[in-house]
Amino acid sequence: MSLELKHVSHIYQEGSAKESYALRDICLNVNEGEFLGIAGHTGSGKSTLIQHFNGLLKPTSGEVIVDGVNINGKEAKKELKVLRMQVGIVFQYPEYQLFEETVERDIAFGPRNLNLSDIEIQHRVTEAMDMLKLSKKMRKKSPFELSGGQKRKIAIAGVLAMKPKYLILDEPTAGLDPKGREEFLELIADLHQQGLTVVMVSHSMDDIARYAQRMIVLEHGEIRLEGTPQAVFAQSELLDQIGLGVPTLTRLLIELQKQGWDVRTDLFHPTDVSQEILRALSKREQRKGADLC
Amino acid sequence: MIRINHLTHIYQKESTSQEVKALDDVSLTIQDGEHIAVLGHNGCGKSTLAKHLNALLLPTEGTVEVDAVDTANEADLWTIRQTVGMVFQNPDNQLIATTVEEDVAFGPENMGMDPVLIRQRVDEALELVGMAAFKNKEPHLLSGGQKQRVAIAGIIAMRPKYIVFDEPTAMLDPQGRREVMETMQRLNREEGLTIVNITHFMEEAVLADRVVVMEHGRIVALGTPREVFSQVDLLKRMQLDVPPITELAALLHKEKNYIAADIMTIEEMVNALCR
Amino acid sequence: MLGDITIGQYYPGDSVLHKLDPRTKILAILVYMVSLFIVNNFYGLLGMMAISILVVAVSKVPVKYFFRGLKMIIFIVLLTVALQMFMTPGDVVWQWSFLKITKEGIKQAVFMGTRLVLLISITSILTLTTTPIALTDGIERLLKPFQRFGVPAHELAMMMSIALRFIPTLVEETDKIMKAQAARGASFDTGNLIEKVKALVPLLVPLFLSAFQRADELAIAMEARCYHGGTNRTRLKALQYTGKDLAAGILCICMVAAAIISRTVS
Repeated sequence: MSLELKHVSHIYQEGSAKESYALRDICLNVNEGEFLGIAGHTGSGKSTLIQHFNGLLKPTSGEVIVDGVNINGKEAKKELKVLRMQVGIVFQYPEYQLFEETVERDIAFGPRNLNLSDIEIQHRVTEAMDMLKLSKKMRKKSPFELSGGQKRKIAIAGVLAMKPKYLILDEPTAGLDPKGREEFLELIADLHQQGLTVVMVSHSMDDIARYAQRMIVLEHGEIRLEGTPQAVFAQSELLDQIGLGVPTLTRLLIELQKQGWDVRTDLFHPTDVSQEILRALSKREQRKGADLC
Repeated sequence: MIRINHLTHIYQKESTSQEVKALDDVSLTIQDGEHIAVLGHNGCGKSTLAKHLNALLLPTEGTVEVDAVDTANEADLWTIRQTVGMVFQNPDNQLIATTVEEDVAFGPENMGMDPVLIRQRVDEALELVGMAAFKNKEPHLLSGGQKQRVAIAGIIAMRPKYIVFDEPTAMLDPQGRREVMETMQRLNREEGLTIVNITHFMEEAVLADRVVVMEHGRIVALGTPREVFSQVDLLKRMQLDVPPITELAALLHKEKNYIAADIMTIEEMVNALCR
Repeated sequence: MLGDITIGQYYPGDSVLHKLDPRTKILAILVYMVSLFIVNNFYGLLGMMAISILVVAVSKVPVKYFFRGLKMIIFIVLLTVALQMFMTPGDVVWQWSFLKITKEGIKQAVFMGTRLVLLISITSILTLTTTPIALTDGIERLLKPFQRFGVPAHELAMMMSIALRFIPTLVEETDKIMKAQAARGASFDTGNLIEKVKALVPLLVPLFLSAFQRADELAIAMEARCYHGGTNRTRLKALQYTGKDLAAGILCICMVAAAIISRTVS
């Protein structure tokens, strides 16, 4: 089972003078259970791309296939709603979509739209709140009394209550302070641990580096790079060209390699990098010692 | 010079009418021509502090003096606001007019300037932030970074001495962040403007002359970026970001003490390792 | 999800109409409206129509662009025509159960319909040839003499220009919220009227809340930029009458005169 884009192109204002490709011939497989990172600049097509995942946008050409069914095809028409619910999208600044009087009613909005029974709805609200470690005391509160970070969690819970298999997050840490950013990234990693397939759009290479198993880099609506973060960061020159850059410590390792050091350049975590540098240092010292003898 | 003397600010929460101490006995002097960064989490009081610098808020206790004028002095309100300009977080919610140049003109218009002079100031300001080519564009067609540069131009057109930036890059992408930071630094270095940058990005704080770290309405650390960021443990405890290079330096320093713990850039690190 | 809205959007150009002072244009439209109701026969109406066509031609706004804006109001025109046709008492020419059309009704319908179309065309030419800023400036300046009677001229103009500034931003935001709610299974285009109205709640609540927040932040930003109302405020672009405005004024006087004279011809 997977989420699959087959030669998807999307053209804005087709046929007019302003016609422009937002996506060009995208082929992408999101495998069940993985954590995929999508990196790219504003205007690279990231937002357009994720809106294809649940049929909010239709491709100008190509197919979007969710668990074997083409969601824009004829056979999917009747079940579009159900199919859409397989793919939960959390948009940028999702706290702005809250509208209900209480937290629980807001989270229940999605399940209510699916015409589920009251018991099932309540069950799903509890489950979604548990997944995000939200306290039960919050249920009856007004979402508008909560802090920005908590509001964002409620919004994510609202999407989780639809029980999606695939969770797509567009810049989930935008506008948060470092503490909040850290908390959300951990939370998302935790959701992935709980079995969700996660796609995270971000312009922070450091964030993607730390959590994603695989990543793609978009530019001008095309996939420019694809692979493990390590493999992608190895292409530092191309990344520089695109203007995305590599994580700071990866750049340090690349600099050291240029100076003739024998170091790996696919690391980015401070502990890993320090170990790698210490290893290389002691090797150099040994060699120096040998030279002296 | 802006002199903050034992500033305390207490406000009442709207919902519960509970008293909150947003600032607790803060003292700080900002020298002319300085670039200061203020770091801290949401709710640490840094935005409240910023709003005191141009009399958007007034102290509950203590004083704030801008060029020796007390901000509580109502007669000098407009002079203070003209001297201390302010750029806010949300680029959309500070542009008022329907075209870029009309927006930049808004401040000078409020000051009652002559139209000929306004025209001159607007053109200069837009030139300075590199937005002259966009003067007839509508704000909503600009990118986040461009909007923020227009907002900066709107402040510059009032010829302030100080500009307070209240998390100007929090809602921007890396590209926009770069644009704003470059503009900010140019204003400080080339135009001699005093900059107070409230932020939670360490990469930005590193560029400042001095860094102020705030927690629970108090200043908990103050010094050059090097002095502040080498206190890795304090920053970690506060869950603030530590620049990755400094974090690495701290780790390496434990093993090889000839590597300084306060390294902040890639070049410095390469030099320290390859000596 | 939302198409682009084109009612009365400014069409950049350099025609005589574009160059006229906005105050002149606003006053000219008022004069045109008055004339439109002074004329009471078909010759007069024909004359007014000719003026209207001439104005559109002079504006150099492409006819296609011009009519696209008018499409929106067809419904209102049809409704007016129908009401006039069926509701005016007089000589009955056609009847079906309680519906009847009278001779006077037809005359009234044609008259009112034409007037409405002409009125809307000429006002849309105003907004097509005048930037929103110039328009609000013009209104502010025209209302200024009434300020001593308590008309908040500056405040009204400021409100209008802020509204104009934020319409595109709010349209964009509406689009975003609609998508976010659609991703939670909401649908905005199915069900009966009541269901449709109900479906708007998840859209309108967030929209209003964010608009209030924007207003709050905007007010602070304006204060920080020394805004303290209209007193002692100057403008970057001061309005100035030119020879063209004088000529336009004379033409307007001629139009009213012609309209009055046309009443005597029958």
